[in-house]
Amino acid sequence: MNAVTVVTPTGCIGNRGIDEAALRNCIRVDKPDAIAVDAGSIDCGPWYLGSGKAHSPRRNIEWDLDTILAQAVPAGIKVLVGSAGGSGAARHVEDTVAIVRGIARKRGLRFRLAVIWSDVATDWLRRQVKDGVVPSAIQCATGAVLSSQDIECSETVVGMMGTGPFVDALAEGADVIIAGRAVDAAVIASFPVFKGCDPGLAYHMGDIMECAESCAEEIAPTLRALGHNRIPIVGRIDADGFVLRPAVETLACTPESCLMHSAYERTSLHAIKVPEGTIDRSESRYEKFGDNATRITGSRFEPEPYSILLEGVRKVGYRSIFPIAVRTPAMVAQLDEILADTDKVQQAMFGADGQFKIHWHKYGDDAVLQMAEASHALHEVGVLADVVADSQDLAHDVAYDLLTRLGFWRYPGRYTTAGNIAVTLSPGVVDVGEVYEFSIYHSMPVPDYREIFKTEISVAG
Amino acid sequence: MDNLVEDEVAARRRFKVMRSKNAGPFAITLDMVFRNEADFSRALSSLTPAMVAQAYHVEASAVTGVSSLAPLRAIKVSYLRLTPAGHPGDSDCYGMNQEEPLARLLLEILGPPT
Repeated sequence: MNAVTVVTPTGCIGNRGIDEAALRNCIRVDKPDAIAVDAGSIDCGPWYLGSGKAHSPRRNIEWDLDTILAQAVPAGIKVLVGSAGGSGAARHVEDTVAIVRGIARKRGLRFRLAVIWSDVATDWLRRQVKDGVVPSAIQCATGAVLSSQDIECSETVVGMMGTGPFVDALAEGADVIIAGRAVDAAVIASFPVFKGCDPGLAYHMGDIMECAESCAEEIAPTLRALGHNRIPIVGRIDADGFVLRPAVETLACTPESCLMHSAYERTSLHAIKVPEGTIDRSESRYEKFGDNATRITGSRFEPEPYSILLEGVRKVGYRSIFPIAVRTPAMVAQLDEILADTDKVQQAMFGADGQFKIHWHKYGDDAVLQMAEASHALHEVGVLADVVADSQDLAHDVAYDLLTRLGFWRYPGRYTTAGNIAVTLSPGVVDVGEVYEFSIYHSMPVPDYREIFKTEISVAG
Repeated sequence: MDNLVEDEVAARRRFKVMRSKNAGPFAITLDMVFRNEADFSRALSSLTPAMVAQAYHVEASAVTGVSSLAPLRAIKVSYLRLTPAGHPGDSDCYGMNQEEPLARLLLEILGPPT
């Protein structure tokens, strides 16, 4: 087989922006076959999947897609985008497709556009539940079994695709692929797999490249000086291994930096679970290759029955928040008691109107590490009150009442009789909208991935 | 910066990397890389899941085994979160700022620099 070259220009579409000059240069020098890039993450929490909103600013998403399409399409380079719009559900994919079509019109580009959907209908999921019992093979990362109740309460569910749907779209002649939820490494591995490369090597290459220059070290300070500071990584894969190199000479993919990125966001150092099986990196070798590249060999693919990770969310209420600060020693000393006491009063005042819960974040006083914190002397505490209630109206009223109550709370030993707290904002309370939680995060065996991931191909431009 | 923070920063220069991050919404994974072989082997032979559980106030069963990459002097350990990422009450949605209890634990294990 011939070597295949894939460029990953950013770790996430819409995230700080691709360095346009670096991408232009590596397209000229390395003549890649494909540009493959992830656009999403579950890291930012359940709200984005629930709300249908992107987790990146729209102008940043437009910058990245425009930078890629303007250079790739005229050069005949395939473009693969996974987890479109951040969470990869229909509304996210639709928004990304609209941006892509707009760029095609504006730039006079014409290409075959494949759109791959990853939404899992709750009806379909329900049918997998036999007599109210979910097959035990559907397991969560925590070991919890998926219940019918989890399915019933879920508003949006997506499945995470592997290379299959991308390879199918490439076989049908797609030039640009916009996909729903996908394994980040699979987006990058798909073109090499389509060309006959070993899936173990291709997936391992994708797993290191997925966050672009995050897998590289700076030889000279580069990134802080750039506004659009995502730097492409060039991956060249052949029958025996692959070479990774950043698109600028002041960065280097070293054996150490590549190994460290292999450990990123994974609980295992050696195994990567993907829909098609497991990638075993225990025999992988990392060798320095020229000045700023690393060659990796020995990664193996172990096929297993096809299974996909499902991600689902449920709505749990509406949120209003307010930030305040406490600088008065007498109040700092009694803060926990004061917050607990006002919480009780709110329940008595508003409990009949619906359910709500107040979550306190006391910055400066164990907010981040909570019980795992070692004690420290305090002189000032920032408090974020997070009220989650049945309705926005109730959350708002509880939060506002709470803000003034804390401001004038007559705690023992109070001497600040004109008021107790530093209020940060005007208006004091911010209404945030719907609150979601993860309801499904389970792996599920699927004999045929085409049952879930549907593809549409059309002409754009 | 007061002296206390400066002292804490100086002590943590012993680690080349000491980081935390989500591994999915239900787990946090911790990676540490040591500057010298002696610290790495001392940490690897002493660190147990039970110690990590105690440092993070989670059940011992919530901590995965300790694994290592000797050529890098790197150690990884992961644990299941008490509150899933981004759920009400969670303090660190991306899990990017949970390394300090482990740093403190390791400095105790390693003792003063030799």
